[in-house]
Amino acid sequence: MGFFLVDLKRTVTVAPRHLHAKIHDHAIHRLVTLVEGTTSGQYGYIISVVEVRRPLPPAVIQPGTGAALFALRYRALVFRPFVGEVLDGVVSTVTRHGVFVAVGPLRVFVSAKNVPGDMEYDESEQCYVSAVQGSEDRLEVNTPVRLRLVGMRRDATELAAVGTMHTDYLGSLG
Amino acid sequence: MESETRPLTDPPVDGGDAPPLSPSAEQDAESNEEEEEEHSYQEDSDTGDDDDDDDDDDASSQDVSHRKRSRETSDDDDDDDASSQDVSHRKRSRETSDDDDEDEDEDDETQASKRRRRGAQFLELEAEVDEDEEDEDEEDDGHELIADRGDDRVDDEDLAAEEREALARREQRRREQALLERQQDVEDLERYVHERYGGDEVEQADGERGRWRQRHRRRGAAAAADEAEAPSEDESAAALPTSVPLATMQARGAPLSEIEQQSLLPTVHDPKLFMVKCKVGKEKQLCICLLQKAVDCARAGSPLAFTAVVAPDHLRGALYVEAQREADVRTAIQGMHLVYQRRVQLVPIKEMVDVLTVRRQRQQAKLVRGQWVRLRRGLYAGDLAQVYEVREEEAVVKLVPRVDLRALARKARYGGGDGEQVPGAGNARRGTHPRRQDRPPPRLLDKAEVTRVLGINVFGRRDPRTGEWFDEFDGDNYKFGLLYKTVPRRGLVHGTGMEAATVEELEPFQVAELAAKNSAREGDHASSDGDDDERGAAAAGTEADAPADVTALEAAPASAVLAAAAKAVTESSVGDRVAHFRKGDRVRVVGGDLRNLTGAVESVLPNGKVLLRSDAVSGDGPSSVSLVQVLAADLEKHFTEGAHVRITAGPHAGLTGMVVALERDRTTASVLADVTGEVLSVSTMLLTDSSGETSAGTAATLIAGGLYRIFDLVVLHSDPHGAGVILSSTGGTSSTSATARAAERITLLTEHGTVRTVSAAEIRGKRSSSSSSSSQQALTQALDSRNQPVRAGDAVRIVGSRHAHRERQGTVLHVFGSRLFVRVPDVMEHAGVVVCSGAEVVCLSGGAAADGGSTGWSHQTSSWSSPFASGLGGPVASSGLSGGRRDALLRQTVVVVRGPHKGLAGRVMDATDTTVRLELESSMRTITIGKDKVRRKGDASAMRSGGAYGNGDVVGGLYGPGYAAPHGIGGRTPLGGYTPQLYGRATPAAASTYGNITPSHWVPGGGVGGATPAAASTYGNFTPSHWVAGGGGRGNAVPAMYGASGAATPMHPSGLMTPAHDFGGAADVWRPMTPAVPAANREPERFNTGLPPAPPTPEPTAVPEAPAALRLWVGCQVRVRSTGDIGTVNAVHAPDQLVLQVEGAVAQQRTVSRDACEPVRPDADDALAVLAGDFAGTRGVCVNVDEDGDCMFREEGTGELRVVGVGQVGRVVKGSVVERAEYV
Repeated sequence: MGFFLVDLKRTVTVAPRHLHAKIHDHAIHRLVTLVEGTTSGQYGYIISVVEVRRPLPPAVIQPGTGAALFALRYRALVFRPFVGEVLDGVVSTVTRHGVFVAVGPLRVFVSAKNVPGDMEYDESEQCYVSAVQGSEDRLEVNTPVRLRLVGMRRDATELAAVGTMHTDYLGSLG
Repeated sequence: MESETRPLTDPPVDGGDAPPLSPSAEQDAESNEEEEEEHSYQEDSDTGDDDDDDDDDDASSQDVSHRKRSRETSDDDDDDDASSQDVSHRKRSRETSDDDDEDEDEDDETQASKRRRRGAQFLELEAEVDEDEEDEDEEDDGHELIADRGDDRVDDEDLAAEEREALARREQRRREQALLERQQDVEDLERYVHERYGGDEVEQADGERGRWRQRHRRRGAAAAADEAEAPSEDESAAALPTSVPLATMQARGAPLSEIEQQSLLPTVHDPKLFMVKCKVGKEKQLCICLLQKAVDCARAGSPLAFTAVVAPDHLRGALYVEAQREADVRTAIQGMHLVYQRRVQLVPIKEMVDVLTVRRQRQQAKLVRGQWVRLRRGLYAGDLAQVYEVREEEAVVKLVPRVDLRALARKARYGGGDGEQVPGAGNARRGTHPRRQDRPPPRLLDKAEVTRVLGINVFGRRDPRTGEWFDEFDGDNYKFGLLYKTVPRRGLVHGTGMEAATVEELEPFQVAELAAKNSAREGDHASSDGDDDERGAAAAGTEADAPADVTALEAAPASAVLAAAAKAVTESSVGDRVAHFRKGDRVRVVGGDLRNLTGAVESVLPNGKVLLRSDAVSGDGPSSVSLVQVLAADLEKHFTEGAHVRITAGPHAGLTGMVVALERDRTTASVLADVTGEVLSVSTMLLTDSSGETSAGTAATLIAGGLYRIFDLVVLHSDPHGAGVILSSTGGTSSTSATARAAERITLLTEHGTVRTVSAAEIRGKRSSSSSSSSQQALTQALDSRNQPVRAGDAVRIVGSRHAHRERQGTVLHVFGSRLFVRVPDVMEHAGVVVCSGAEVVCLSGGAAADGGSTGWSHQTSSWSSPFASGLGGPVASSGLSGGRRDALLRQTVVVVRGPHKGLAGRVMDATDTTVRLELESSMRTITIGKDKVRRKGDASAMRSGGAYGNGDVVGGLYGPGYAAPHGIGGRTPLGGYTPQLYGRATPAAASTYGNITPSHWVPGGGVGGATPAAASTYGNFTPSHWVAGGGGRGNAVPAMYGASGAATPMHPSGLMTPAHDFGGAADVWRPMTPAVPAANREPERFNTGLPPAPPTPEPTAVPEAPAALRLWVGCQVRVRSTGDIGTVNAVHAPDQLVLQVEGAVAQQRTVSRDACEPVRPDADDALAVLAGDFAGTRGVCVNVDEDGDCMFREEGTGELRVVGVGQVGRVVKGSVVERAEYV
């Protein structure tokens, strides 16, 4: 899993009513609220703000609203997947076209052609079962799997990826 | 003269002089002589100048032909060694000698002597002919020649005059050759050749001679086969023509200029080309036959007068014979089996080149699955078909069958009359196809009709190869009414040569496709879940829709869909293949020398070629090296998995997506669409790379020329009070032209969960769901199951117990009245859009209100999201930010408990941290009052939200009606974990509002702590800071809740229970309405399940709560054991008191112990309630009660049959409280 610490910048607005002694705390909390859990196409999923650079820069009052603008620099822990990376995840949805695997916040689609070669879709059970005799391997919801990313689309606020399990050592970890 | 007639093809061994005849040879010669006579039987009838006596009768000639034939065939077996070759030659010469008319003017003596000598040579060499073997063969295949003989005679008579003339000329030539032969020895000849042609090497001269011999002197051999011939006739070179054949030069390997090539084209002086029709498939065999015939004839001294025979692969059913005159050809083919003797045609000079032009191998475009084709011949000749599967030499196509069931019904095998021939489908199977007008009309096969007409059922059959299911009927495979037929690839017309499909032809395919889709959808429905009403209704809705669609299609064949499909068919033809390439496209060469080369399109040239920058040449080389011109037909788009692409044409034009998989032939790609999340199968030719496009996602969502986007909420003209969400559009192109827009079909998901397909013109307009004007507020905001407003953009979880997508999370796309359109990423169908009512969801976040605008990772699985959520939740809550979050009391009905308005009820219109604005119910006034002075009107809210309440909420309603929300939220949050904001904000409200009401009720330690371990652990998950921020201490907050429950208890009347209470199981069991919902699904409600069955209450005056099991008795009829009175349980009191309404006596109520009475046994058709056991709480209708004491009943809601012990059930009175409670 590609976790990284990146230094980022974000301007947060603090409403006038919070302009009191704890304004810095408030600004930081505001930053955390705004930033954590968001997705940036460039940096991936911002998981956590680990550090805000202190001292905080002086705020600028926004004319008209009276809100204070803090240009905060912070260090964030991000999860940034890369094409070709091998990741572990959990199957979240199974369809006959393929499975969706949740690798943390990332949703990876694995086409039915790219599930492990011995697996076939079982209409009745709505899961992929191994055709090999004696094999108990299944791909169903909540199965932990390992996959390799073969493609990724990065929008400004969204990441989407396709993966494959059609190689050795990939597939169900169960 | 003898030298003249000497065979030119004698083996070198015998040289020029004839060896003496040995005795054995003589004997053989005699037998030869015999045969000679037999030959003449035929020949004399033609020419009449044979000296031999002829008392020919058919029998004898027949016999001869038998023998000849057998010999001819036998030589195939033993041509390995030289001797056997000779044998075959001898035999051949015999055969040819009587076939060839050119021998006729040679006198028999000459012939006889020649043959005698040949026989001698042969014997001298070695070899014995196994005559027995030949005799055996004679029996088999001689008779075939009889007919031919008769034909020959007729031909011969026709041509006699011409023939003679030709032969005279040929004789002249032969004489000249003989002259040369005599005069010049080998060396002279060589010298001659050198002088004449300036030949550089002797070998070449030899080669030339050999070739020339083939073409000119012997005039009888087809191209490459000369083994049988011995290279003995150097003398023949003397007669070489006066110009070097250019073909010879070419064969030498000398490069030819264009002009030289031009000069190779045939002129009037060259031999002409004749087409001879023959049996299809036998061309090559006949070619070889002719070759051998020519060789033999030549050896026999009577060469055939043609220069070449060729049977090109691409021209079937014809041989091409090069000869000077037609008569020569006729002579050559005379007597040959499988050749249509009469059909000799001269090929015009202009077309001669075409005959021999070798077509490009890939001239026919590759057959691709899904491609539209037409059949070439047979019953379905000219019919449109779609390629279903491509195999080596054949393809499986699906087409509209032409089956005449009535005709079939008359057939014997279907119990009709005898096997007499009837026109129609039956004929087709026999190979005698009716003419086009006579064949049955194309119609989809209707299984029901088959059963009706033929009285047989159509059964499914698994294809042994693919494992796929087909309907088998009359030996053919059908699916959804379409016939799946295996056709040789040659029998298909496709590509440019194909006539474009018409809309009418496509119609049945559309119908079948629709049927396939519907059946797939039904399959989904059936397999997933069947037992809930709403879904059932939805399914019924779609089913009702589907036939409507079908009829619509049938009614208007020229509908837009079909027009679009027809267009797609036309586009799929290969003609405009080049148009699909754009600069920058990644392509791969699939034909020609550069096969498998990959590169990027540099430019598309007007001549159907594409300039390609290849990957193979590295960048530092000169650019001209890496640029290649390739025919567009040889190119294929090349994508790798994960590439981001845009669909440029076809029904999904404009969509973008990621390539998730490629078919093995790499011509079809599975594309995961960006917006809708569908998986589409698209030909790679229709894809283009879009990774560089910045607005890929938005462009893809535009519909109707940019008027709408996918997932817009629109209103239809036909239904101005309804609305639907756009799911997809088909047939639309990116162009904004009016016609294109008219053809576009837009699929909508209506607020009822049904799917409609409309045209863009039917849409009245967009409905904005983000309007902020207060008049539309009601439309853009609904209340969730906790009466919290839900707006577009909010993250919600579906909790409605009857909803198909229960426990799934999604984002609200639109709010329409009380209906929500929720986008659930986990759902594949309808692009993940799900319709539910507000009461069926729980709002997880104030997504719309949150200024970050991030929708969160709502698709996360809980295992992943929990840590994130709790991490986030802490700081947010501690900051005390309300962030615009709506108060928990908002829109609740509350009762004022203190102050001048005490006792008045009102609705909370607005709320701050400490105060609420109430709209009083009694006096149309709005007042502002402190939060501490109001209390939620629990019963009312519990009733109002009714069935939509989950278990947790009801529990709250029971134990502390006013505090359902805090309870529910508190219990839920750490588990769900999705929405830290929710509890972060809600909890302080709870603490501040109620914390001060009931501090005295808090019993520290003991009872509560011990009794509510689950609750305690629940609180353990809260971060301390959260509670501090909440305004109360941890100790305060907890008692607040329990205190509340204590305070609320007196609100329960001691008598009747309110129906709403019936929902809650205090302890363990809240029976889901549908047993299909497993208990595990409700795991997040842990708070609830952890509650003790009867929580201790500090109020001594409170009536103890009845256990859940007992409350199931409400509404049941019981018999009091002591008196035998039958009464209906009106209410229950803990621990085991039942309040009975005794029958017969008006208003007579009695309270009896549960042990003192027993439930009344239900009879068939009685409503019943299960009071104990696994199905406790279930209600249904009794089916029967058997002797064993088992009661079978049909469960309410699911309709499933259940069996329980009769002791566990009680009869329910119609119209009882329970019944009402169920149906309120």
